[in-house]
Amino acid sequence: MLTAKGWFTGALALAVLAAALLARRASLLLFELPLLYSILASMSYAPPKPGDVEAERVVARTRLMEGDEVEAGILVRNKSGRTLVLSVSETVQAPLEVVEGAPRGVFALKPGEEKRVTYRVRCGKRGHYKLGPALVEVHDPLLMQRYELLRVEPDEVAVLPRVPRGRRLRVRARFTAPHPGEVASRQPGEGGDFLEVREALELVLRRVNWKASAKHQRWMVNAFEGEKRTNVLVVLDVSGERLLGKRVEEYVDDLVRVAASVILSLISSGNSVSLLVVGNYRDWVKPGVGKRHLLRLLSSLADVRYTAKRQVVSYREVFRRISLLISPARSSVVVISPFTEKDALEVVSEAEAAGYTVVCIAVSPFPRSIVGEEKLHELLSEAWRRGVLRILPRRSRGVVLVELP
Amino acid sequence: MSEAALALLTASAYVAVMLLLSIPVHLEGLLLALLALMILGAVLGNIPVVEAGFSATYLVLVAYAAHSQASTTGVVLLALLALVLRDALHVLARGKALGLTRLLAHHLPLYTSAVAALACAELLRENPPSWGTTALVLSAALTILVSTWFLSAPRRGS
Repeated sequence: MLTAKGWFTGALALAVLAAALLARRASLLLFELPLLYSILASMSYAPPKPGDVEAERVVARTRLMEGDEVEAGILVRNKSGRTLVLSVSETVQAPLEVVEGAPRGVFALKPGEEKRVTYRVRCGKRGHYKLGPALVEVHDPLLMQRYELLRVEPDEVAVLPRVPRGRRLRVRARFTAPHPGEVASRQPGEGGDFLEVREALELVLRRVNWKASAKHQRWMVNAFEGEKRTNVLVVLDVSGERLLGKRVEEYVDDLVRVAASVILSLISSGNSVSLLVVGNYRDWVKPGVGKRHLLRLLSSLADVRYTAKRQVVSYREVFRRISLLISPARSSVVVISPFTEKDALEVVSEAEAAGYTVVCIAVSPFPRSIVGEEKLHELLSEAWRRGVLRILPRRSRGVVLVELP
Repeated sequence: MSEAALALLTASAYVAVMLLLSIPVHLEGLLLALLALMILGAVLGNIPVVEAGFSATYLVLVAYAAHSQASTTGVVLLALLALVLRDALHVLARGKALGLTRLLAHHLPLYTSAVAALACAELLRENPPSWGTTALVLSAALTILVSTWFLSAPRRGS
């Protein structure tokens, strides 16, 4: 395939020839020589075979948090016996943005030599995005033609939602679930939450509080509270277009961050957490514990979007069908929603009817960043707060109001 | 020598030759504008802009050689300098790792032969040759130029 240089040179050669013929000046053909030389030299070039060049993508991390930067690059190796002029061009999918370096480059590689095109990308929006494909082409030495050699398949980068730290949610459990492991414990272990320093009834050396023992002149130990672990189903309701119009996407981002924060808190406490996303966008994750499961949940949250296409099956029906599959009866349910639509309240009623302990986390759909005007923000927030506090509180139900700045 | 320094040197030589050739002022202005366009294309990394600037420069020089009494040899030299500058700008726009000296080495047979061709042209200028003679001389020159490449490069399909 001809490059831009090739096309321009060819056209220029024809134009010069036409000019010489029109002007009937043989000396003008001297101008033709350099152009013809380039064209003929380029035509005689024999491109290498695809096996003569190796290319691979090197990505420092494939899991990022919103706003993180990551270094990526394409490593190209010349395995042929001659010097090659290679070009690499990588496709970077929006909203990934290149902040340093360039995802393309042209370089000459000697036999056995390798070079890397390195760049840094940043992503401010959660989701799963593709890096690539990368195209490796070989050029003739005069850069007149290029031949496609290799295509490096794209790699996926997961941009997880940023989790605001410091929010802890306590879930009241009606029962605690056993967490089977490979080897069954003979007796329950001590919990992980610090309770107090007390006099030692039984001396366990690793629990001794040496400072307190020295002060009181008797053995003092740290006592820890036993943990209550339970199954928690987090229901995330992504709706709200009626209130926010096109800005609903920003609100969904806020909801996702709150959900991520709650999930982190629950997983850190050792609970088994499952996720159900209701709204026009729907998704669910089976229950699990631990760091790996946290990443699975965050990865699912990364793809949560507001979609305009309304689903045929109601939220309530979705909850009824899915909840029993992914969360045992009598476990806890955390519903995160603006609670401005009837559907979310139906989910809460359905959960309570099914015997779940329900905690409602109502997230204000009118943060200052979305509403803009201070006065309007205050009015709308006040109206929403009053409405939610009138509808939600019940004796058996926990309610948390979240108002974002 | 760095690529940028070589490009700067070529651009300076180009401007110096242009001034020495006593080209009309308006034409000098046009050539300088086109030179600026080429450099702008390289700075922006836009190869078609560099190429458009070079092609226009080349055609202006051909038109000038056709319609003036100026020395064709001098104008061809200017065209060759534009060619070198274009390659230097290509390297600057695409990435320094390409190596300008390497690219220029492939043009070496062209530049050496061009000097010989210019000397012949100067000799022939006083006694303009016929079309047949010109075609014969050009064929010979092309054969020499291309054979230097063919002898060193591997054949297609080999």
